[in-house]
Amino acid sequence: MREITLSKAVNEAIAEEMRRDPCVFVIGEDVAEAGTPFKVLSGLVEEFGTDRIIDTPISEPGFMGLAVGSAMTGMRPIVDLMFGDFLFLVMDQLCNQAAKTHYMSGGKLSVPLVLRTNLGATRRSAAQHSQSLHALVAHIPGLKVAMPSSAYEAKGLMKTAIRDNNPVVIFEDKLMYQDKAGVPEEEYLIPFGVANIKREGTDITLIGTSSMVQVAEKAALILEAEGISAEVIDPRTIVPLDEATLLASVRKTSRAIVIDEGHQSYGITGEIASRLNEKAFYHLDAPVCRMGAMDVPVPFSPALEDLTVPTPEGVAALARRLVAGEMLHG
Amino acid sequence: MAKPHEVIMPALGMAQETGILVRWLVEPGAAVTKGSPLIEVETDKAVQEVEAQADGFLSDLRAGAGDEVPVGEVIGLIVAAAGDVTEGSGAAEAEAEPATATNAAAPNTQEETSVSTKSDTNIKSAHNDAIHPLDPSGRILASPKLRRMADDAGLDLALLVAHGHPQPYHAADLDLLRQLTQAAAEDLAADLAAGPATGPAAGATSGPALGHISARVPAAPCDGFLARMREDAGLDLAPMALWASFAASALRAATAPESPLVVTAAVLGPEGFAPTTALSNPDLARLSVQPEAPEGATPSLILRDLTASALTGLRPASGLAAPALTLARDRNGGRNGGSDGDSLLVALDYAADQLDEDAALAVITGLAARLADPLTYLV
Repeated sequence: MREITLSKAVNEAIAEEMRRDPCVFVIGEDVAEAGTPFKVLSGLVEEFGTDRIIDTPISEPGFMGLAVGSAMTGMRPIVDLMFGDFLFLVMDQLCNQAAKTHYMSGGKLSVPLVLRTNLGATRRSAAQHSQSLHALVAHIPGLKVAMPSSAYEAKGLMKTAIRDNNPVVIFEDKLMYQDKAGVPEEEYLIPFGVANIKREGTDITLIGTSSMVQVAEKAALILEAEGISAEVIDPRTIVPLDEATLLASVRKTSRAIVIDEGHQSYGITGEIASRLNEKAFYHLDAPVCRMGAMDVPVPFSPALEDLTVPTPEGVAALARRLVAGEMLHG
Repeated sequence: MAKPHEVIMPALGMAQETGILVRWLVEPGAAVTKGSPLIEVETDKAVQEVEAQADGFLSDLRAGAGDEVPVGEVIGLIVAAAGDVTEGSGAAEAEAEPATATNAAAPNTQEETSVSTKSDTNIKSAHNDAIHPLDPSGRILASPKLRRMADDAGLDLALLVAHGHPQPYHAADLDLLRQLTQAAAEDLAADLAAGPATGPAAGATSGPALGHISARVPAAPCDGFLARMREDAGLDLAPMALWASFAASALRAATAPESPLVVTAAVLGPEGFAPTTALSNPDLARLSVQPEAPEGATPSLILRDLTASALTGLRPASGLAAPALTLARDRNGGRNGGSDGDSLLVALDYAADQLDEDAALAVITGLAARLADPLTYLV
C-alpha cells in the first residue's frame, strides 16, 4: 500500500468530498493560496476556486458564525481553525449555536459542519498555540469529536465527518502532519464510535488518543522487552466513544492507563477512566490511571515543554508499577 | 511423633496487625493443659490473657517478653511428649528464627517468619520497610478483581491476612489463597481424625459403620428471615441460633426423645472452629435466648456451622460421640444470570447405633423443610 503524509491524507479527503458534493466548501484564514500554515490544503484552491476555498479576514467568530448559518441553510462547510487554541474565540458559535440548533428547532434545522483544527505541544509555539482543547468541546452535547492518530485515520474520519449531518470537530496533531502511513488508493470511510485495537496484549490496556497512540505503542515495545504484554487501543472518536471495545479490553487485562495530551485535570482521561471504573470495576486488579499533560500553561522553553507531555518511558514506568501490584497511593 | 500444636500470636482486635507478647505464663518445657492461661498479649487497647489451645509441653519459644509479633506468626509450640521439647532455635522447623528459650526475641518482628510449613515458599517476602498497608477499619485491601474471583471460588481473603501475607492483594494471590484454603481443610480433617474435641466421649464410637445423608436447600428463606428479624425487629440473631433450633426440632420430631436434647454447636471461622457451646433443648426456647446445657452433658447432636467459611462439607474420619450435622453455604448460586441464589448444604453423619436410617432420613428431611420455610416452623 502506498504511504502518504497525514497532511496529504486530509487534503485528499477534502478534495474527494468536494468533488462528490458541490455543497461542501472550505472557509478560514490562509486556506486558499497559502494552503494553511501547515500546507495541508495546498492545491485545493487551484482545483475548486476561491468560491469554494474561501479566505477570510482574521475574525474567527465572524467566519464561524457565517459557516453555521450556511450549514443551517443547506451548505456543508469545513471551517479551518488555524490553531486549536482559537477555539475560545468561536465557543458561542460552536457550542451555543451549532451544537444546539438541531435540538432547539425540534429537528427542523441541522448543522452539517466540520470544524477542523489541531492540538499538540512540543512545537515550541508557546502557551497560546500549543494547547490540546478537545475536552472543551467533548463536554458539549451535540458535538462529535474525532482525533485521528495517523494518516489512515485522518482521511477516513474526515470523509465521515463531512458526510455527517451534525457538527463534528476534528483535531489533528500539528506535529504529525509529515508522518506517513499506509493509505489505500481506493475510497474508504472510518465510522465514528469504532475503536481500533492497534496491538493486542494481556497484562495492561493502554488507551491513547491522537499522537498519544504512538506514545502508547512505543511504551508497549519497551514493556514487551520486559515480558509485559500491553494492549494498545485508539478510540479514534471520543464522542461517540466506543465504550464496549475499551471495556472488553480492560475486563481482559484488568489494568488500564488512559493517555491524552489535554491537561490531566478535568480532561478526557478522567472521563474514560471513570467509565472503566464504573463498568469494569469487578474486573480491575489495579486502579485505572490517567496520564495527561501537566496542569501548566505550555512552556516556551524547549527543555521545560518536553516535560509537560506523556512519554513512552513515563507510560512504561507507570504500567510496570501497576502490573507489579504496587500500591500507587497509600 | 504427633504433629506439634503451633502457638500463634492471636488477633484480638479487628484491625490488629501485631501484638506485644507481654510474657509467657508457663516455663519452657512445662506441661500445659488446654484452656489454661499461656501468654499475656498487649494490643493497642488492653493486656489480655490467652489460653493454651492444646494439651502438652511448651516448646520451641520463638518470641520473648516485650516482643512485638505480627498476628498469625508462630511464637512457640506445644508438643505431645516432654521428651520432644526443644529450646528456641527450632528443631521442628528448619527455617525458624534463631532464638533462645528464655528470651526468644525474633531479631526483627516485622520480618515474616515461616508461618505455615505447607506454604512458606509461596509467601511474598515482606521486608522491614514494607509497612503492611492495613486499612485502619480492618477492611482487607484487595483488588476488586481478586475479591470477585475469591467470591466465585468461595475462598476467604482473611486466610491471607491470618498468614501474614502482605496487602494489598491482587489476582496473582489467588493461587496462594487456594493453597492456604486447601491446607486449612487438611488441617481440619487431620484434627477430626485425631478425635473431635467436643467432649470426653470423643472417639468412643469407632466401631459401627457411618451413615451419611445430605441435602441442598435455598439459602434465601433463612437469609431473608434473619435479615427481617434484624431490620424489622432489631434482633440480631446469630444464624447458629436458628440452625440449632431447627436441628433440635427435626431430631425431636424424628426420634421423640425422653431426655432433654443437648446440641453442641461450633462455628468455623478463618482460624478454625470457635469454642463449642452446648445448648439444652434449643428448639423449645426463644431464638434470642439459647439455654446452655449443664457442663458435661452428653450431646444428642453435634452441629457444625461452616456457612461463614469456604468449606462445603466436612466428613468425620472416625466415629463421633453423637450424630453430626454439618451446615455449609454454597455460593455458586446467583452468578449465572442471578436466578439461583446461594444454597445451604446440610449433611448428617451418624453411626448405626445412634440413629437408624429412617430416623436419620427424617432428621435431614425435617431440617430441610424447616430451612426452606422458617416462618412456618417457628410460629
